[in-house]
Amino acid sequence: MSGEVFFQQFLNALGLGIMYALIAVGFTLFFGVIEVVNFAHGEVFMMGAFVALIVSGILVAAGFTMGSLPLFVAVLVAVLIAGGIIGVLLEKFIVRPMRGAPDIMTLLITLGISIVMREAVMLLVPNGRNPQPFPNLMDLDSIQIGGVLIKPEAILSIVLSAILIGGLAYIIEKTTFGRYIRATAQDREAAMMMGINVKKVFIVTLALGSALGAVAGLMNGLSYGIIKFDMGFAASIKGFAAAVVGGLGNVYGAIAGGLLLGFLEILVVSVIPDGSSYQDIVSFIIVIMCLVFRPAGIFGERAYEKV
Amino acid sequence: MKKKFLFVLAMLTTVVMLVTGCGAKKSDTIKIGFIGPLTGGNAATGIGLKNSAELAIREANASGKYKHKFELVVVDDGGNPSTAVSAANKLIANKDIVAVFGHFNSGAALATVPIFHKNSMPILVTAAIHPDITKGKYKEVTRIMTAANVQNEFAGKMAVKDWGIKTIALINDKTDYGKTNADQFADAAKQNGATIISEDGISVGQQDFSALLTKIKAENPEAIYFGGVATEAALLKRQMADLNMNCLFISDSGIISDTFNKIAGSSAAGMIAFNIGKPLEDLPGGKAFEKSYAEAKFAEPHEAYGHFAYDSANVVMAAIEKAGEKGAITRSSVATAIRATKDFPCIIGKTTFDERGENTLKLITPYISEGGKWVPYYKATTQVVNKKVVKK
Amino acid sequence: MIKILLTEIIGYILFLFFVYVEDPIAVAGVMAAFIVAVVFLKKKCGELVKDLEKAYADNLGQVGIIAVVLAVTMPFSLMGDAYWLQVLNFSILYAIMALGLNFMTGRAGMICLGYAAFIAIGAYTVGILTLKAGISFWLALPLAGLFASIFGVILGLPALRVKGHYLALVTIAFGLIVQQLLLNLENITGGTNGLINIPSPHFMGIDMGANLDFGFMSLSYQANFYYLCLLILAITTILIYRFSNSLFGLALNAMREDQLAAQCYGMNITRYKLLAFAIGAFFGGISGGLYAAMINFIAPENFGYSMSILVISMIILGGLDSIPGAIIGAFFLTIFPEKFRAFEDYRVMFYGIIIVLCLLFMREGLLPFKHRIFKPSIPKGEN
Repeated sequence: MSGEVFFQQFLNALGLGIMYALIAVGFTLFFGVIEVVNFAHGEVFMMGAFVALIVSGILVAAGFTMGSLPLFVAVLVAVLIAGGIIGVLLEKFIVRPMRGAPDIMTLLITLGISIVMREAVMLLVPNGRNPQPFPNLMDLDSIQIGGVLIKPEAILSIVLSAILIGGLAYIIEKTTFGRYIRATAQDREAAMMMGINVKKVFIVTLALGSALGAVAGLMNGLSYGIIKFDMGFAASIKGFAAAVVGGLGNVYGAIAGGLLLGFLEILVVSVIPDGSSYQDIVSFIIVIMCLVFRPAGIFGERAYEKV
Repeated sequence: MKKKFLFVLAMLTTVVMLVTGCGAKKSDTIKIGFIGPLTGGNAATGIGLKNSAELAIREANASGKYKHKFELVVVDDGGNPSTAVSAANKLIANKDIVAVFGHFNSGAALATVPIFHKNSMPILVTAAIHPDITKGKYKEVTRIMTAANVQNEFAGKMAVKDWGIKTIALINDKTDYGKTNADQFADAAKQNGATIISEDGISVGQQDFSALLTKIKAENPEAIYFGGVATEAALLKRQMADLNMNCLFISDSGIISDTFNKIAGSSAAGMIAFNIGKPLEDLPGGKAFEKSYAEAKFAEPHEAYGHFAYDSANVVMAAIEKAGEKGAITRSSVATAIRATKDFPCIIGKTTFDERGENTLKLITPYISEGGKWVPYYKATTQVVNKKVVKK
Repeated sequence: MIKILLTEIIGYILFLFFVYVEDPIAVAGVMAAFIVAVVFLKKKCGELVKDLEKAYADNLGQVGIIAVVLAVTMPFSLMGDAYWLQVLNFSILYAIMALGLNFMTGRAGMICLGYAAFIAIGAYTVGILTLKAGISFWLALPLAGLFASIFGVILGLPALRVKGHYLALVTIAFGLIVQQLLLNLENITGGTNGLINIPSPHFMGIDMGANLDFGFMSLSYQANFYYLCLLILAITTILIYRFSNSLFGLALNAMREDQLAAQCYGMNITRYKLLAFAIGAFFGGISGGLYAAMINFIAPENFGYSMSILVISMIILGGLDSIPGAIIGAFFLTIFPEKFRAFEDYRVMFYGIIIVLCLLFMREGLLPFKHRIFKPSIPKGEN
């Protein structure tokens, strides 16, 4: 592999990994704080992309210029809000009624609602069964360094993800509400006894995680120029896998897990002949191995079962 | 207690009886089955086929050129094998149906063909192109559209002989359709003297091909052939543009749709694809079909393959009429009559079936994407010169 | 006895009406009338319903025998209609799958979102053995179950280490890996093309792919498979019932409720878990093998994630860990959408809605699992 190809592949992997990381953060946050695995998270990702598509259409009709910064910022804010709202609705109508039910039921209901969300988008969006072209919200030129071409969308994704994850880390580590979240994650009962409004913590957690997931959907649309109603499933699986590899419940682990998965996939494709056929198999086998030999993830702490 | 229970039951029974009683009707027209994807991903194409078939039957009934009146019984194959098998059985179970035509998805057709054969029901395959559909050489199975292998032999030859391509990188989407096309193209190209330098599979629904394309770029092929459908082809083309790759990109009939041009956007230009058939307006009966379809005022357009269903319906009706002249109209006699079709005037041209059940009339057209549209290569303003697409 | 006979015959007649009514609106009307009747009976004649429930619970043998006798006459009542027999065959296959999955997920509490993989393994075993090796279907079918079991144990191994949410991920990954392997191992599986022209089995010289002719009535060849599938469903039901009510089944229940406590009581969790996986997978494999012989054509795309989800939704609708529930759920979710073919595009949505609504409002399903009450020596009627 020549240096140019290597660097190009490195960039490809970074772009893919950061997107997985952004989805994985949601999974890990929900699990850490609420103790649910939200299979509908991939559909939030998908809906984020569709909200961006619809909102940008409306804004352009209202006079914004395609490819301008104000349009992009407006769409980004709309997607963040929409993601948050979907998160709150999921908490209220799906996660909360299932409190106290066996884990397996909670998991299955998020699976069920993910099917409903996916099919609803397919049926409601005109021609929804087919992929939808995604508008070029930011009109930037490609940068070429030597033989390496850098897509502006990739840089934008990486920077934006870094800012969002940084923002989330700030909220969790530095603010009072972040302390509530951490306390609830550590011990729900104790947090309740200390007067923390756990219900509110749950709502905010789902809203935050879902907003990030929705933005990942927006970035996915920007990078590939196409969105489809069924793109949430793959996102769910990869994001969940990344969160597991990093250790469910560990935000920084999720980021590392996402990047690791991204690099791994690109490695398989670029090194093994006909590797692209085996891309999914290899990454899934590694996830299973990881689960068997390090069930708590690479960065997870060893957990003991509470009796 | 028990009385109440029985009362409710009796009421229920009466209601049901009334409903079933009303539904039963007998008719003495001859029934023909249509099987195609009316739901699912190919619903638009399937509905176009169904409408066109209905148009043919309406016209035949109105013209009075046949002794019998015909009626179309429509079932949905959902585009997938399991649904198709159920649907085929529904048609077979209906004793009034003497012949069936339809199918767009090869997977569905491959699954139903042995069943139709087993029940000696003639099936005229309308728009499914997998070569193996007629492999069994059953007397019941005939196909009006040209099979995929012909398209790929044509494409492989044209790429190597006319355009001088020597090295090719293959990509397929690991579906039945894509893989078959890629393999057959590769065989044809090899026979004509080209080398296949790599072969990769991708998954339908995958979005990121940058790693794969970066790898292929380093191999520096003169052309890339993709076997698959529009979405992945469009993503590949976009990402090729992102990576500044400008070798020829060739594909199959599955990508010829507006979806490709919409998604690939500005990078669509110069994409080459081979298709079965010919543009409707350049076919012998194309204009007339277009006109009568418009007059029939269907809610949906006839889509790309409607005229094949129109032709299928006409071939089947003529065969039934012929079988009736010779003796009883049975499934078996109709099967023989369909296979004996010779020089029958269709929209696509004069149709004759060979002993395998394939149409001897072969139609293949290369297309190129220009200004967001698919243009037949012979009418295009761009062409391949020195292994690159340039303006004429 | 009379009560059971009467109600089962009513069910039978209702089903026939359901089949013969063509108009979807009329079907919806009949369905609505049926639901109203059931609700009405439950409200106004609660005792009668309770009476019936008790009669059913106390005479399981009779219930089964009458059901089987009625089921045997079904192809004749349907006049040998190929289409509806096919639908029934699919329902039976799904019922076998649902019973297998229910044993894993309902009884042992181990979630499996890759169940379609076992079905695929069974289908491909029969397909490859009968098509390429020329082995008899009757030998290939048990082998299909066996191979699926082996894969079940392989999947069970990581499942020993992980549980709950992690198991969900492992099983999804397993399902996708198997599907990818079927696609990529072209030499054996035929790759994307799948296997075409899988031979129909022969039974005592009769080609099961040929129509059954009785002189006065000709039944389409699906009737052959109908009887075969019915027989296997009956065996499956009895076996699963036996397993569930054995000490082993009880142990699985205990493990589901509290693994740690079960372990503390000295249960061999490793063995039980692997066994549960093997048994659940076995029936998946068997139904897959039947599918291959019946349809004569299999391809990897038929055994995707959506099939796993469909079987899951069947056991949720019927009630987790409920044996009659799994069967009813499978029959309902296979037959019901057939009448609404025009709304085919909404089918998957319908499955999703069923899952969500059941879990929100009817967590125990249509026929909830009845907790065992041990009263071995109390004679009937004393209760």
